[in-house]
Amino acid sequence: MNKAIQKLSRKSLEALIEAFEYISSPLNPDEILKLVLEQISNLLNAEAGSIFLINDKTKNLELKVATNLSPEEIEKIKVPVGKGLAGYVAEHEVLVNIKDAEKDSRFYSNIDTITGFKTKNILTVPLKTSEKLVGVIQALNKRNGENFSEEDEILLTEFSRLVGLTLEKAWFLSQLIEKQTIEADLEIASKIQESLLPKDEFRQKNLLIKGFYKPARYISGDYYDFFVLNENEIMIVLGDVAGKGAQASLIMASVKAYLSAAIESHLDFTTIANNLNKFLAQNTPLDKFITIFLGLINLEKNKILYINSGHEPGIISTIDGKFIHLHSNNIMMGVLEDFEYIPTEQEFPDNSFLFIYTDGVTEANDKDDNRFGNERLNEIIEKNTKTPSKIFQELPDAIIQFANGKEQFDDITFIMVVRGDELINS
Amino acid sequence: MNGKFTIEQFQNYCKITVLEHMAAAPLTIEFKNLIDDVIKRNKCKKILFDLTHVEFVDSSFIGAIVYAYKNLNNIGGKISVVVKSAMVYDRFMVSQLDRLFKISSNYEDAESYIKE
Repeated sequence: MNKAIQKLSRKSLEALIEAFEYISSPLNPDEILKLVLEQISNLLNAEAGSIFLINDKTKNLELKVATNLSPEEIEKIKVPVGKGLAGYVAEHEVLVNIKDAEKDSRFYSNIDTITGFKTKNILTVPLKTSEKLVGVIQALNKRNGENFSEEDEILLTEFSRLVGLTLEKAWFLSQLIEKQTIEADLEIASKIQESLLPKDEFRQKNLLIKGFYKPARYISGDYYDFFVLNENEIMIVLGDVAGKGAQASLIMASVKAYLSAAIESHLDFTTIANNLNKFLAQNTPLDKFITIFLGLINLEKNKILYINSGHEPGIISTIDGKFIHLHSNNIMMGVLEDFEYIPTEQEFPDNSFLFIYTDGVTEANDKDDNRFGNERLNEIIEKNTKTPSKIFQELPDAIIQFANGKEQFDDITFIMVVRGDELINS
Repeated sequence: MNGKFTIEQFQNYCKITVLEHMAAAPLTIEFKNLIDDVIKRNKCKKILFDLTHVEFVDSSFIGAIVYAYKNLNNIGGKISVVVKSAMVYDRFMVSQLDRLFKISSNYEDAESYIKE
């Protein structure tokens, strides 16, 4: 027990303990402040009280609760640290006991003008948590025409110390609850996003389409998909929205929704690309765009028609081990509303496979900020030209090994289209 | 300015130099605010982005450059970008942003374009 508390009478000490128990019961910081205000009057036999808290951003003292003031009036009262009586106590972190408010230049009489309350004497103490000053507490007008005594000073100082610790615990808990709520929401969002991606690999005749998706956070702006248009034509998509997080994932979801509707409407390949670009340019923030690879595979003609809008090159690996790069041939989407997208046609024969990826693959980095890079990616593909299915295991493993414990920075997504039973079953 | 960027104002254009090697998401918000300042406060309609110190650029940072382009294009302005790193240059080229504004590895080219 500290020396100051020892000076308190038994009655005051009991009142202090009771007040502490009273304010400790709720978990909500706002509720605690209201109870503290009630207890100031009880403990000190004061007509009124008020609590200011420091806004960490503006560094102003903001009135949070006060007797006889409406929420609207409370909202308006903000005092810079160093100004007025509350500001003086906050700046110097000292108790101030004023016996005649009118005669003290630090007293700010405008509040009395607003409330009609006549302040005679004020006791103001700093409010601190275990780490720092967070505000001030004031008791106004001792009842029975008396002034606040030395015992009142000790009582309010000790009460303020207990309030500080109680608030600290409540703030911590409310931050924890908020964080857990956000995490729970993100987990749900993550599941919803994953549900927008194909659930399984796709197998038709001698064709296999399979994707890999590993977001850096809960949700991401990467997207892959495929749409079976008829028995000979399949459209594949791999996109990467600029940036990360919720905004990127919502844009990604809108791309999925747009493409599904466009395909239902039987629009042709180029029109789909042009309309998607227009839709994105009209509906996304100015700093957002999407790099996207759209491919229309024709199994009968052994060809792929593709629009690579600002994306990493697709790679076709042929049976004889040759790589054909499907380079960016159009500007990324969402930037120029009226851009006319022009597709390129490429041979895509049996016994070959197409690999498309987002930059999270090649830009995966280690602790020294070295990049995984195209060379390492090409090595893995070259090694598996006859065993493409192994890439799904070897590439993620190689990235993890390369990162060597460095946290994943970007979303990692790739999709592979394999043609020919021999390659599929390899 | 703050160790990350510098701003210089010339007769009819502004130059923003990025002093960081990694131009990625953590820098982007500040960079976008700077672009807003240069457009609104400095009233610059032409901006030369000097990225010669930059060795890595991610999509969110490119997004900020696109943001500058879109804002200035709407009011008859323009931008140009000068880069030194091959990786950064390739990144801009893959995105095909050279269809919209000048991307050069030569400072004089970028400057003469913005002065036009």
